[in-house]
Amino acid sequence: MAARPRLRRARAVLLVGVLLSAAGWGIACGTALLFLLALLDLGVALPLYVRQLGLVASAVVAGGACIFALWRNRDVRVLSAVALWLEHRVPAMRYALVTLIDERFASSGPVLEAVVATTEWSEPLRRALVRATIPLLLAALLAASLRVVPATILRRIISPRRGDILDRVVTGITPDPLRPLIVTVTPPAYSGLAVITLEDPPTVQGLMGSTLRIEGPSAGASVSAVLNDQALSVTSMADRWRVSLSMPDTAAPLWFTAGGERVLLVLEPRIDSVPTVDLLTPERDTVQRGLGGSLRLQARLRDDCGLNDGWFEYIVSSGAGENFTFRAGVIGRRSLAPARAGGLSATLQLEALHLAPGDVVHLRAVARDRNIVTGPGSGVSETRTIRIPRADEGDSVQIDPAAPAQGDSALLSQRMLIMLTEALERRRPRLRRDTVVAESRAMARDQASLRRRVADILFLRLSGEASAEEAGDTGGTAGLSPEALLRAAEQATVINRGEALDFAEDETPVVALNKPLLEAYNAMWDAGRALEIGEPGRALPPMRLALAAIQRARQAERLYLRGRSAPITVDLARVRLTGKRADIFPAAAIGRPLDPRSAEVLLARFTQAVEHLPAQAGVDSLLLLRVTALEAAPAFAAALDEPLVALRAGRDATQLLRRARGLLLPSPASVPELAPWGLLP
Amino acid sequence: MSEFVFATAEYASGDWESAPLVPANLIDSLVRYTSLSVAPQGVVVSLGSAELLRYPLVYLTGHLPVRFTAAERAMVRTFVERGGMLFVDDHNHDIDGVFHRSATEEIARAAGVLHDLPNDHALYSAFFNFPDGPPTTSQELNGWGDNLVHTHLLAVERAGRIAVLYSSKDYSSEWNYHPETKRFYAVDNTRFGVNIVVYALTR
Repeated sequence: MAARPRLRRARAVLLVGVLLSAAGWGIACGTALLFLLALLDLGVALPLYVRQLGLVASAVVAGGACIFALWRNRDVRVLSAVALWLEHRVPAMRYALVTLIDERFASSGPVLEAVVATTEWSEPLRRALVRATIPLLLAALLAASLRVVPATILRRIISPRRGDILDRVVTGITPDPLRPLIVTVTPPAYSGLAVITLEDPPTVQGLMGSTLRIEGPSAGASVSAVLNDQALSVTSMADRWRVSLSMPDTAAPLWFTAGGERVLLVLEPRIDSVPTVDLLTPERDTVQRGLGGSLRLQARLRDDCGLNDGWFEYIVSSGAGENFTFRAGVIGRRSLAPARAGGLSATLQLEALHLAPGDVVHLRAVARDRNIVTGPGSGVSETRTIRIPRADEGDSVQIDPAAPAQGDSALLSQRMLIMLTEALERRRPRLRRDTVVAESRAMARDQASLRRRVADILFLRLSGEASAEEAGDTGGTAGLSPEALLRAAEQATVINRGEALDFAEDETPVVALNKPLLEAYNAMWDAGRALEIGEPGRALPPMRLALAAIQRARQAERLYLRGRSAPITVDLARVRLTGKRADIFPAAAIGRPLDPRSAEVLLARFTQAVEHLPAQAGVDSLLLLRVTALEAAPAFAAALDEPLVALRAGRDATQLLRRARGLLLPSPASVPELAPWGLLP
Repeated sequence: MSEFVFATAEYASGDWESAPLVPANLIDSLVRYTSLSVAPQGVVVSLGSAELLRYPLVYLTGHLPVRFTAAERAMVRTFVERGGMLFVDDHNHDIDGVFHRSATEEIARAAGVLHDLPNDHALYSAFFNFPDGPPTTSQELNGWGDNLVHTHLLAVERAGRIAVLYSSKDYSSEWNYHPETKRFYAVDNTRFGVNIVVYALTR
């Protein structure tokens, strides 16, 4: 064989030797470190992190030694270096081999080949291989020495894990049965969470439904465990004791007792949170014009342990006031298991909901988690409302059905008047005629008050002005007298008694809407007349007609501006009967005394004005007198206010005028030397 | 001692203003029967604002589904945790159970699960005595809504006192009239409202 191929074979042999040697040194160094750690752990229980670091350090040392060995013999790759290594160990070649592989001396090749061919170099190679196995033998020796270390200690060093302290059994030492306590928490399968092991924890946290395994070293003494005053079963094994239980629903103390010592462990259950749901679209409440079209719904869902499914819910509410109907449904249901986050999307076809103007669609997204222990937990998003406006609110979608403004409910209702009239009619045979007339007229006044209230509403709607009836009473040119008003109302309604009104084709909605009130108004006039002449029986039919008409008017569709209705202020003093009546003027409230001369003048004007009553001229005179009296006699001016209001409203103001006149009269004077009875002049 | 102010809750969903006369009517009853210092007007307070915490009793009603916003839910939770009392009344007479379902769901989420309030609870003797529990309303007797006469009110209790009182009896309709009309009643039907206020202020 030529010298060059022989040299390559020698290099391969040396390369194998170097690799074996490097591996041997690496294994030997790493094993030595592990052996050292095991000896240390035998004496003192090494913490988990020290053992984990030791394992890493062993690997690093082994690798380092291996790399160092390879680096030291790195020249084995070079053919000339191998040739020199052989020349050094076989001097007989006298550098023939080195010269032969040098290209510069190629011309001397045949001579040198002959020299090398006659030289044997297998012995140095054999010795090199033998030396390379020494580190391997050393590594094997160290590995064998590890067997003298207890297997449990070795396992703690080679595969350190939390809770393996219980594996460290040392002969001759009696362990404390309550230290350490190793707790293994196995979460419920649905959660997908990892099993965790804790060493001597003060508290144990875990998902509700988790299984707990608590272990301690067995030391001969019996161990008892008590949870919430309830004893738990303790299993004794060869080297440890064990208690298995489920995580309780609420935080609870778990007491362990052994040989007079107690250890407390607090169990803290963690509740599986309900999913978090965000409704992305629609972004906000809105008004949807038209009954068709579609809505894109999108939602984002999250859960701490895993989602199960999700969907969109809708409720369609129809109606207003006290009459509502509801329809509910679900769309876009989707399974999301076992993801912890996900999305929902669906398209809501509004046609499919058969919406009508005035309807409101309430939308929200719902998600359920995979909690099969205490759940499933259900999370919901914010609710969005989509409102379908009515046709008659097209110019202002801010108009919503809302509470109507409150009328003056201090008035006797038509229903109450009917009941009073019926009662009077029943008592009539037993009563004197003048009593019947007096009570009937009192009811006529109440009926008139109610009629004026209806007139206020009616004329405000029809003309936009205040009660035309009132204007008629005061003789205004634009107003109507009660009779004219009645004629106008009859003309407008064109009814036969007892028949309901129908809307004519050419009527405006406003007139049509108010016809029932006009009918009620007419009937109230009829009832009032019958009551005025003391005939309650004759008043009842029109009163019932009026009530029926009012009920029909109530059924009419109404819209009110949305907003807060005016708050009602309760007169606390009046309710508690601790206030003062505004219509009584005590002497102290009158203020400075009225000048007698001025009082005389005012009294004269007052008397003249009263003589013209109930004509409008008399009312106007009183009004002017009130203006005059504001400065000189403010109390008298104030007292004129109420009778003026009563007169304008067509009510009897006699008592009120008498009270006002009393303020102008001189105060009674006391006479110190009062003469005996019968001796007065 | 500051005066008691009757507060009505305004919430984003539903028709919270559906019983506008109830506050004045209950204020009238409080003044009529008790010596409590009472503000003559009620107030409207947003359920999601911190203003809510200024009132010991807050009244909530409506017909439509109740869906609290996140802010409203958080504030209701804070309100009951700090000792406030929320009185929720189903003004919808439980038609289709929509108000009931949605309101109880929201209450459970914000304050806790409702349970039957025993008819011998201190609420029923806080001022007037109601030995048979909550007084029946005319809406129930007329068969409105679910056609039931509810025998119990529901409540969430915190530290031995009512934090949320829930009624399906429609007191909002029963009490929604002008105080002046009270003179026509043989028996004042708002007396139970006095018990609710007195309980909220004294327990």
